[in-house]
Amino acid sequence: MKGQLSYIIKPLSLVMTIVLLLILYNSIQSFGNRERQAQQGLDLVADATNILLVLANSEDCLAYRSTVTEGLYANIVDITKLNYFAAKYANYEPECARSLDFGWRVTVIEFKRSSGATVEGSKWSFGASQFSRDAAFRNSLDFSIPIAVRYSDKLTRTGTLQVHLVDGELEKISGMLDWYCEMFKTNRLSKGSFQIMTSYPLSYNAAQGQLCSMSKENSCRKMSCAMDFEKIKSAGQYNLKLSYVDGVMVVNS
Amino acid sequence: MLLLKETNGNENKNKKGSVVISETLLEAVGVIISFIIIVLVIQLVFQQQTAVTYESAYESVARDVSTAIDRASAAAGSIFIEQPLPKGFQLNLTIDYKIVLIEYGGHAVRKSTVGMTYTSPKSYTNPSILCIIKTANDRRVYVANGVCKCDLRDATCDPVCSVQSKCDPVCKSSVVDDVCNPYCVKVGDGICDPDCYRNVSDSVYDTDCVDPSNNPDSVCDPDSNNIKDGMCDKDCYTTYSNGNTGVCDPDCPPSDQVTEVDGVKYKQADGICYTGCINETATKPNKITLPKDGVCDLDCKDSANICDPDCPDSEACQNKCTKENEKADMYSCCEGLIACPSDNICKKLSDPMSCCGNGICEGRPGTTNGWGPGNKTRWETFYTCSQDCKNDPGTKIGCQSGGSFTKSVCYMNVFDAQGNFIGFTPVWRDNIFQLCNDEIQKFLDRRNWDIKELIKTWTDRVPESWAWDIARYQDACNRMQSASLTVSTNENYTNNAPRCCGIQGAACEDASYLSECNGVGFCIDHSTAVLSILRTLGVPAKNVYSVFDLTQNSAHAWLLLKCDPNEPENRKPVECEGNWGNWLSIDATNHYVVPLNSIQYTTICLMWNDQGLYAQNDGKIDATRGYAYDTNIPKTSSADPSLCMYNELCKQPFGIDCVVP
Repeated sequence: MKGQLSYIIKPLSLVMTIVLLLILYNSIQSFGNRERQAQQGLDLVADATNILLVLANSEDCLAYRSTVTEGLYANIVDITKLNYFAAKYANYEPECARSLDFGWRVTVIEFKRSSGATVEGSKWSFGASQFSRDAAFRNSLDFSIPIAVRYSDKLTRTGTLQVHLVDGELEKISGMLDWYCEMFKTNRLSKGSFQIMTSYPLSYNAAQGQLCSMSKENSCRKMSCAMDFEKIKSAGQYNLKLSYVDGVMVVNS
Repeated sequence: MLLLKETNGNENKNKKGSVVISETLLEAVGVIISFIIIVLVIQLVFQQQTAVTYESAYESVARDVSTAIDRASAAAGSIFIEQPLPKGFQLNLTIDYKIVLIEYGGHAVRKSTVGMTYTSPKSYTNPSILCIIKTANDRRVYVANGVCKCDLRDATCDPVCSVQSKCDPVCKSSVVDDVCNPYCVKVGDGICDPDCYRNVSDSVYDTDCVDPSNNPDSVCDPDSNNIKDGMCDKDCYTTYSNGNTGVCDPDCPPSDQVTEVDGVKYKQADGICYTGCINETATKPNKITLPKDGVCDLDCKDSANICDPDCPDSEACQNKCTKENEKADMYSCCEGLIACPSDNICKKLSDPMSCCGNGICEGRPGTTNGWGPGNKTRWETFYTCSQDCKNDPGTKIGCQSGGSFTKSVCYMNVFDAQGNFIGFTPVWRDNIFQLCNDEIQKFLDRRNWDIKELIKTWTDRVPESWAWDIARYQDACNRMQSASLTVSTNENYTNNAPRCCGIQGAACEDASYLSECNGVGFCIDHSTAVLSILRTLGVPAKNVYSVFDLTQNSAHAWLLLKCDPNEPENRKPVECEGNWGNWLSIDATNHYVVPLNSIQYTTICLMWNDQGLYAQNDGKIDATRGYAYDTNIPKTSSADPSLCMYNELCKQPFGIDCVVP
């Protein structure tokens, strides 16, 4: 009887040990994933802050430069640049504050006094108009800083600069493609490759110059380079091979 | 399983021994396998954890570096930041276009930067500290290995010296090193720093970089604007030409292309009319005027929109225009004339109906052959120009003269001895409502005596809609104006600004002074003018009132119009569909017409029109007491009737106490 019992207990204890080890492994993996997500969240916050600061304070973006002192003033944006950005970058991010990891859209709201009360005045908006959706979407964040909108020597109004920042597959893929585009245009590279993970098919709309992720509703992003993009027909991991021929970026998977 | 099968006795003995050995063997094998599995799993866990820890540690380093670069590029002025890196890391750090790349032990992590560096890629092996420098003049961000220092005696060009307003002699070289130190540039020293001579502004122009033997050199430095250096930069000359204004090179056009004929200097035609330098005061949106430099540019001479004052017969300088009754196809109409929108023939500007009679009905903007914005007094309808607009809409049935009460009220701010605002007091003024006035009839004629057309005016954008004179807040109650003045001034208002300042020097926030603003009015002027228009149109007195809404610190007037299904078609607003029997709110100041129950208001103090207070023309109350407003109109929860000062409000014009429900 004792011998028969040991026949059952011994394999069982072996199985239990393996199960416990697998649970331990799994929980360590899940801690790792959570840590990774926390780091990505941190990246998102850091980028949101940087985007707002660069937009408000960089002369290449919206910062007002005094023609008298030739100096910039912290967080004072130029109404001329604001109007120009809202018109030119209605559907994509300006290079001066483009992040290759995330996509963003910015809204500037000014405040004015009306009948003794402070009310919202004009609004401007620019940046990406579409973002990754559904399974391709990972995280997003809304952040704002106070700014002043300078109209003239006599008129400056207060306002806010709000950014909607999105972490998604389409943003990462288009960021890498745009980086290669810059390398090709400046003759720094002639070919390259990188790995992508996509949850939806990808195609390139040559007429609009947009890379589109075909989820239930298409999400598209404007690309810096004209592309000859081999369509990706299903979700999965792909190794994209890139080259530059006669001003066109050729992308094969 | 083999052990259960028995045969003879000897065999049985042998098998018994086998059983013992097999069990022990099995146990031993089981322990070994367990041990191996445990070791493998633990090893896997440790390996993965080590890889993850490594990766996240290097990612943190990359994030710190990219954040420091972004903070530097976001600085409004010049700045340098020291960014220490953790010790003991074996890594190769690369800073490239919008990227920080860290390579370690066959792996790599990457972080994107947001700001631009405008510098060449840099790579460092095992750096312990980085110096990140932003120089405001050229907007470049440099990343150097080591502590931030400006050492004038070492062999390295330190960009920190630019921030500290010093010239590091090593930076003063003809070698491209990304660093343009403005304190090292000395004009005429024979040394050209190529980092300071480029197509981007860095507030530095090194004339030593100008080389006559290398012209053009693909660089038109924006910082060379208005600097005379004795040589016309052909890059600027070709870039800023034929209407493209920007960098002015006073040495252009090239002197070797200039010849003199009959005492006039000409630049020979080469297809380039240089427009980098312009006379800013004389240049208009549709015509560029060049400065008088003594040289007539033959490429500019025959241009229709570039005037070169040195050319004796420049077309564009002659201010050619089209005369009266001629078509303005080539040149715009001469001063005092305006082109009719249908046939483009120039007619007198002073006569609003000068285009009437050309056989084409030229109405409001957006209609076929309609006028452009700001020409309200020229709109042709059957009632303003029956020769051209032949269809009689049948909406004008004469005008309604209305009641004799012409007063309008205004709530004046009251201040205490220290000048603090303490409340309102009502003030009534005579001769405000005006029914059947000429100006009001003309206003209605231009809109076919149709309430739908009227509402288009109050909900449109200026100049088609009514403007708001911010200067009216100065001594407003003593300056209440007649309805006809408000109507006629707004009809003649041509500016795009919805808010303007009618008194020069008045405190008008952001609104600019415009002489045509004086008379456009503000809320109470708009309210009484709209009421005069609607009553002239024929809206019954019981259906239209001017109202005042007061809150603790603001007062606003607008108009209430009842949606009466028994009214004729030309007095039925589209906004009444689905809202019959209820009140519409018409706000000509804020340009909206919506059901009253869809807007936020606080305390409607009174409803009045050319018949007097609300109750008096309702006919239900005796002649000595009257309701101030329709009791069916709901009040908001924060309504405070004491603000309305009812006793003073009703005593002044009526000599009665208002009934306040």
